[in-house]
Parts: sequence; structure tokens; C-alpha cells
Amino acid sequence: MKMHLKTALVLCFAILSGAMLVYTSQRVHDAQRTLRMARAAVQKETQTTRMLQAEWAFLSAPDRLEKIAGEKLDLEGGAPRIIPSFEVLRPTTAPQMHDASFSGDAGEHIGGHE
Amino acid sequence: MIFYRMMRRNAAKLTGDRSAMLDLAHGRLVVLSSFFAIIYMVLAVRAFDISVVQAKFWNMEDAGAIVVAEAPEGKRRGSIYDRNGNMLATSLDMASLYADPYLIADPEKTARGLSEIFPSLNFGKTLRSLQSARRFVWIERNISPRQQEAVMQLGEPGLAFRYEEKRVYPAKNEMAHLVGMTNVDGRGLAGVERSFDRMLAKGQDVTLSLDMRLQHALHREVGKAIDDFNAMGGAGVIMDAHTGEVLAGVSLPDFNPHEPGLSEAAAHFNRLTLGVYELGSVFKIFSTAAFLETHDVPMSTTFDAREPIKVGRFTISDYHAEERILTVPEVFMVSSNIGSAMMGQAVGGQRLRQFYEDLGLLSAMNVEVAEVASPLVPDRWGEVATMTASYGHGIATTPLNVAAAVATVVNGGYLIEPTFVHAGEGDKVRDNRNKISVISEETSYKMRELMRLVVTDGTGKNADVPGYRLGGKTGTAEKSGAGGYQRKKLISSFVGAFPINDPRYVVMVAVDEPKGNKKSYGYATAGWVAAPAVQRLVKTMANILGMAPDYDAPSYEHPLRQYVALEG
Repeated sequence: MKMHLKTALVLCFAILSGAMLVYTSQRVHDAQRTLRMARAAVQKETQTTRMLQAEWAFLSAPDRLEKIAGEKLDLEGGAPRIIPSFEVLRPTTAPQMHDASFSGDAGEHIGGHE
Repeated sequence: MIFYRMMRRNAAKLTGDRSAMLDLAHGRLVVLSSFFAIIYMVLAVRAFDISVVQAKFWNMEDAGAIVVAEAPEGKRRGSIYDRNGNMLATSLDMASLYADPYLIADPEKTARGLSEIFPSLNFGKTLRSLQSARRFVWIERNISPRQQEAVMQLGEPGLAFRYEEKRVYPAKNEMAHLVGMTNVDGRGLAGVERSFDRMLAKGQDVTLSLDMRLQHALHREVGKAIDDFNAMGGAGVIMDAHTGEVLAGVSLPDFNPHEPGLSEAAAHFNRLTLGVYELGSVFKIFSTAAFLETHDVPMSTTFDAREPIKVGRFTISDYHAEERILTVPEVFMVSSNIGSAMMGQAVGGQRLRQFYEDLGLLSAMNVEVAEVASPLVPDRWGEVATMTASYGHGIATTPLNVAAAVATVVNGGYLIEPTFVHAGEGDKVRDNRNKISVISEETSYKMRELMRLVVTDGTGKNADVPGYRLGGKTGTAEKSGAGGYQRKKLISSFVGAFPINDPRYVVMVAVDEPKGNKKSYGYATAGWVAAPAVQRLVKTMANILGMAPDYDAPSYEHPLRQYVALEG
């Protein structure tokens, strides 16, 4: 079987093209799959987040917490007087000044007024 | 190959036709062999591709993920959140368990396992289902992930899951009227679910102005007032006095949005936005504001409340009859119908009507829930209508309308349109507030003084919370029915604002048909029913919102005391 050079070239080109086509389509296919999986992962995470949010909302529902706090911890709703004001929080005695010596050049002024 | 060489050798010895035939056969053999060789090569390459190259895609978890990804996007309904990001409604993919009895290997063992996982399942019934000749049997709908895991642990190939979207409402009853609900097809039927249906259906989320914590507090206190006074129902609202954002809105009785069919029809009625009521003396806030706005008179101006007023066949009298001449603060403080009717007369029918119109009391609110009622206004606004409307009779409107109008009166006079949608935080909201002025700052200031006086010395004493300077007004209205007003069927309400020197919140509680009890000495008036509920509510609100009490604040109502004859 004799094969002309031209035929051989065409055949090689066809094989090469075919291989490239297969390779490219395979890459596209892979990329599509990766994208689908990424989307799926996002969707799955979103669904999980929703589920957790809903669960959190159920568990932290004020009526549930109130009931549990009353039954298990014997707690009652607080009165407004428990909210402290800054006046209440202010220290009753002046904070003690520690004897601190600052090193530095003699006569250096460290903040404050005269 | 040996066979091929032999053929070649033999062919070389042959000549003519036989040689040509052998060549032909040889050619066909080559083509056929090549064809099969290529096929095998393709199969080998494909096998390598699937088993090695694509192996990472084919583990079970990924395969499952791809199935999820192939579900149409944007189909899932959006979620609804409160102003703090707490979920109020969402759609979850809930697994539902079904069986193909044909594939069940050991029905008895499977039925026992399922009965242990789902206590509600009856072993006998489940076993019968699994032994039936059908190919599809529902075992349990909307199961939890933990139950699903347990079912998978059974390892039974005949058990499988279908994923269905289910609308979930974590706040259950507490938000039912405002958040609403959907039907089985996921279409909004009521509340925000209905009014934002198109947006939610596109997968967009909605953030409401409601605060789940305040909603609970309001729900609890309105519920307690209903229980304590054996009432038919009630409504309540907490509103931001500057933005009109509804922070909490309650209508009782309510329903569980997961099982709406189990509740009576009355429980589906939203009293806050759809119920129109003659709310009585709370309307004196508006008639007094109209009087002060249209008349530049001192607070010492007096009204003769010694005798009931007769207008045609009607007689207007006072519930707490003082039978004396009253100043403006006294009229408001003791809730004199006679004095208020006189104020209404002084304002004039058309001007009073226009004032009510400007406050938004005579038209249906433009809010984001579909269930909104139009107020009932007299067809002919004559003298009688003017006088009765001054103390909240002959005109019926929704509690939300009233709360919004009160917010307008106390916030400096700027029109408030209520909203259920959260606009944002901080200065942006304040800048966006509606700047249509309905009354002057001065009138607003006077009204705040008067409202504070009601709580310190008037009918609303039971609402006072030391340190928070609550101002408000009580309203006890007889319900109208066949044959006129019914003395024993009342709507008792209290609407207030705090801190009254610069109101941030407007609160309102209305109780439908309360009955007096021992604690209230048989009274079912607003001062006994709604005012204590508001007191408890304000205390809780202060805790939730972290508002420190200010016990040293100057007495806001003090300037008015000179015009008031106080007991003792």
C-alpha cells in the first residue's frame, strides 16, 4: 500500500486536529463541571447557612429563651433600674497615682498643663 | 500476522482473477481490523478518561452536588428578616422520605427501624405500606437532617428522599399577621409575604423594620391584658416617632403560619391594619392639637363642663364627670367629652375634618401590607359629627392610623407615614423622614406637656414608668352595635410616647371587649386595662433597648400644674 506524502500529511493533520478537538472539548467539559460543582457548593453552603439561620432563629426566639430562663434558671425580666448610668459607674474614690519616675532629659515636660 | 504473510506468499504465486480477489479480501480485512482497532482505542481512551482523569468528579458527594446545581436557579423564594437580621421567614429544602416497596429487602426490619426514628409512625401501618404492591409510598414528609441521617444509616436501598421547598417561620405566631404566609405553591397569601410576593419569588430578601425582641414584648403584654380582662382580642404597635418605622405590631388572636388551617377565621383578621374601631378619647389628642394650632390662646382658657351638651337628639356627657369649669389641661387630663366637643366646635367642622385628613386619619394607609382598611368617616360632617369626632366617636379608624397620627403630633409636627420596611441606620433615615409639617413645633410641645400630665395626674397614671417620662392618653369607647352604643362592650386603649421631652417611640395598646376583674374593681376602662399593659411594655422596652432611666429629669408637665385643680 503506497501512501502519497500529501495523503499522509492530511491524515496527520486530521489526527492532530482530532486530538486537539478532543483535548479542547475535554477541557471545556472539565471547566463546565468545575463551574457546576462550584455553583453547587455555593448553593449547598447557602442552603446550610439558611438552615443554620433558621435553627438559630428558632433557638434564640425570645419566647423560648424567656421560658427556659424562667424554668431552668429562675430568672425574671429585669427592671429598668438595673440599667446603670455613667454616674453610677463612676468610681467613688480617685484612682491612686503610682509613684512613677520618667527617665529622660532633665526638664523634659511630659504633657499636661503647668 | 502469520495468516496475513501466508496469504501474501500464496497471492504472489497466483496470478489473474484469483490474485485480484485475494487483494480485495486483503483490503477488506485491513479496513475491518482498522475499524475495530480504532473502536477499541476509543473505548480504552474513554475508559482511562472516566476512571482516571474524571475520577475526582465521581465520588458520591460531588455527584449529589451536581444534581443540586442543576436545579433551576432563582426559583427559591427570598427570606424575610427583622431589622437586626433575625430570620422571620425562609424557604428550606426539606427532605421527604418515600419507599419503593419492590426494592425493600426486609420490610419488617425496615418498618421497625423507621418506627424508632419517627415516633409518630405506626409500626403496623408502616409494615403494611412496605409490603404493598405499589412502587411509591410516602413514609414521612419534611423530616429533619438528623432523621435523614438515621434513615440513611438503615442502609435500605428501597428508601429514598425527595426534596421539597418548605416555608419556615421561626417566630411562629408572634409575627404571623405582619409577615403573613404562603400557600403550598409558595405564593404569598397574607402580610408581607403577599405584598412583596413578586420580589420574594425572584429570590430577593426583604428586611423589615420590626424588631423580634420588641415584638415578643408587645405580644406578651397585649396577650396578658387580654387574659387578665378576659377580652375578645387586642392590638398593639410600637413605632419610631421620627421615621414611622413599625418596630412591633401585634394583633390577637393570631395563628400559627405553619398550620393556618387549625385556627379560627377570626384569628386571621389583622386588627392592627384591617380593623377599624371608634377609639374614643385618644382622639382628644388630635382635637386638642387642632384647637391649640388654630387658636392662639393660653392654657388657662376654660370650658364649661358643668352640664352635658345637648345637640339635637344627642347628649354629650363626661364619663368622669367633674361638673365644673375646666381649663385646657384639665379637659385633657380628666378626658372631658364636653370640653373636647367644645374645642371641636371652636375649631369648626371643616377645619377639624381637614386637620384629621392632614394627619392621615381619614384615609387608608399606604403601607407594605395588603390588609389595610379605609377608616369609616361620617358621610355628612355636620355639627354633631364635629363634636363626636372630637372625642373619638362617629369616626372609626385603625390602631396603626392612630399611632402614626400621634407620632406626627409629638415629633414636632412632621407627618409620619408608617412603614414596615427597614430603611437603614443612622442619619440617613432621619434625613429621609418626611418633612411635611402638619402642626407647629409649639403645638407639638404643648401636646407633649398635656400628654405627660395625663400620665402623672390624669387617667393614665397606671402607665407611668419612673425615669422614662411617658406621656399618653387613655381612650375607652363603647362599641356600636344594633340599637346604638353598647355600654358593656368597650374598646380600651392607651397611646403614649416616650421620653416625652423628645419622643423616640410611640406605643399603643388596644383591648377589645375587656371585662372588669377584682384587681380593677370591676372596671374595664383604658386606665385599668391598657395603661398597665403599656407600663409593662415600656419597662421591657427600656431593658431591651438599653435605655437608662433618668430620675432627675425636670418635671415636663410642671408648667401646666398651675392650670389644674389637683386632688389633695
